[in-house]
Amino acid sequence: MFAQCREEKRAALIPYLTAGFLTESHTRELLPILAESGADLIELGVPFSDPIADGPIIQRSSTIALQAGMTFLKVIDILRDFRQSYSTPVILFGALNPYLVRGLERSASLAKDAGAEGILAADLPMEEASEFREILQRRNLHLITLIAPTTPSARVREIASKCSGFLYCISMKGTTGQLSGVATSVQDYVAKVRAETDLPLALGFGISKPEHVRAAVKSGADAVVVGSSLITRVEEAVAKGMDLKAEIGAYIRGLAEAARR
Amino acid sequence: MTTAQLVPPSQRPDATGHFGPFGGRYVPETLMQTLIDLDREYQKVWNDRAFQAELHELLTEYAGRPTPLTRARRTEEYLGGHLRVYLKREDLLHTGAHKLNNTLGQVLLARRLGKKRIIAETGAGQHGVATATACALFGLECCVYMGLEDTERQALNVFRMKLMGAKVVPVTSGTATLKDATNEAMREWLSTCDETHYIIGSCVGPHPFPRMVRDFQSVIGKEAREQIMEKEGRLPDHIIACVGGGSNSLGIFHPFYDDTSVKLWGVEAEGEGILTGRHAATITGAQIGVFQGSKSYVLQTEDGQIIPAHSISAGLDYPGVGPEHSFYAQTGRAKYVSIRDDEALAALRRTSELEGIIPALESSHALAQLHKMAGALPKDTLVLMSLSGRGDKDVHSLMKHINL
Repeated sequence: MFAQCREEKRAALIPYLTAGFLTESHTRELLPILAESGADLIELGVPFSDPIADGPIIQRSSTIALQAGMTFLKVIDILRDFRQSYSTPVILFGALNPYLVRGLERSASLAKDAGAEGILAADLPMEEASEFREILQRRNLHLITLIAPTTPSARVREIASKCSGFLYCISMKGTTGQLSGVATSVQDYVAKVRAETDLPLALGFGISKPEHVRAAVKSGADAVVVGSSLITRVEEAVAKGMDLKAEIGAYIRGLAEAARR
Repeated sequence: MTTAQLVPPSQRPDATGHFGPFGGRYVPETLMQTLIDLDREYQKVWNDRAFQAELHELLTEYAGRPTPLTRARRTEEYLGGHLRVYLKREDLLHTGAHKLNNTLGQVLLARRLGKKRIIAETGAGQHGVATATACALFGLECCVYMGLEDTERQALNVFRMKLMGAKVVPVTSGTATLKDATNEAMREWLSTCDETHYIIGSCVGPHPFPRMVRDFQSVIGKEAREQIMEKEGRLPDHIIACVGGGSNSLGIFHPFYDDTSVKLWGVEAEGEGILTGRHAATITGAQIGVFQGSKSYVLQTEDGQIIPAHSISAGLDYPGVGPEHSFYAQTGRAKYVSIRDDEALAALRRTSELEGIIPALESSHALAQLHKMAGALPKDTLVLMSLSGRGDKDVHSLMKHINL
């Protein structure tokens, strides 16, 4: 997927969506819209009651999804149904505990059978990750790992040497969606990570507008992730009774357009 | 043999914070370097004589250590006269509970790290007050996260914190209680970790916090060990302490870890009863999970979502528990039992009447366990109780339960 994007002279666009937000049927409606409007990969959020990496918007979306009855097994069902009709790859994104509680082996099998490409557990740093990574690799699934602006170069190298798929580079300190925009220092940051690895780099946190996407692409990132602002738009569109396909489709197409080099 | 088994017990956790299968560092990558640096600096100061001397002076000249070890003669009589019972009086420490042992140590550490600002979470407000106290003493900016519901229930402690110059931030996310205040403090720390130190109030969270808090609280057990040897010429047969996150209990247990003749009892809050689902007996529930930075026992649904805890005592009202307790439970070094709200209340009244000491609702759980097990203990059994705090903070809520 990343190779194809490079050939087409563009960065990959990765929208994040919390499964079950606002309800299960919204997610089932939205995933095809994302896929048809230019998403190259989708991060499907597995809601958790007590996330520590998520900002207020995504955290609230998880609370709403859980209140509406979302569970890990329902996320798996949604994923399976989507992947039966669409080839857009999907990464499951969330905290470790929902996987741990039913056993890492069983969780990995469920994710694989439903058609996931990989899993990102935001609270699973390198030091704790080897068991889950090995379990996922046996099933040809990626364990996607985070890099932060606070990660020293030597540590970037060590993380990258253990990883597959792509590296998710957090563009700023703090939680998701906390600040809007891409700092000018992001260019140095991407260059610093790039110096240590050939893995594709996805840049996320704080990206909401086409100009942010352009700045991220300019920094040398191979992909951009858009999360909190998509959640906000979905909630607004639903509240105002707008046509999701028109509203969200246009937003994603605009971002995809901005991802061209 | 796994590496965990090769580590001498008193030297746990291992270098990356594991107590057997428990503990570790389960946090976003953004915090990892901060935690690695904190661990390195902490190990340096913990072995530094000048740091230990400074801490010792603060604990004696400011906080009021050593705290007394009081023989509970009328309690002994009430229980049948066959036991010898001693209370380790953390209720007499400045600010009224053991929490200050930890906050003074961590504020000294924060100064060494060059941090000018402190954040903390609090439930009942005792840790918040102890943090605000230590920050006032050293002129550090202090910000305490507290669930909105708790700020209303514990208005007195909110006022005390503000009086000492701290900012109190009400947390409305999730269930608006202690676990959510902790989430919020961790989230803030993700963006401010360069200039801010986070003082966790119990032996929970990512490594090195469980170890650090235990070490700072172990002054309780070290003193108690010396005091009881002096008074009785022998080690106690039993030590009983309440367990929320577990800092007063690990503080008193840890210096006795290698004394295998000493039986350790951790008392969790059973709330309205295990079967009602309204309780905080995390270890009794026996589900392993990753919550707020470490792997430990946790109250959770079969889907891995955290279940809000319930206890009459705000300090025990927490769905997680320190990883070292999970390790003690799994290896059998300590035994974990639970006490209902009504049993704790009865023990609180009894101790007030018999000893002229109003214990905190938290500590009353440990006292209730003593009352429960006393009948089965042989003659001349020596029991050491952790009286972790005084009950003044609970008077307002006690008035709803007790008619006088």
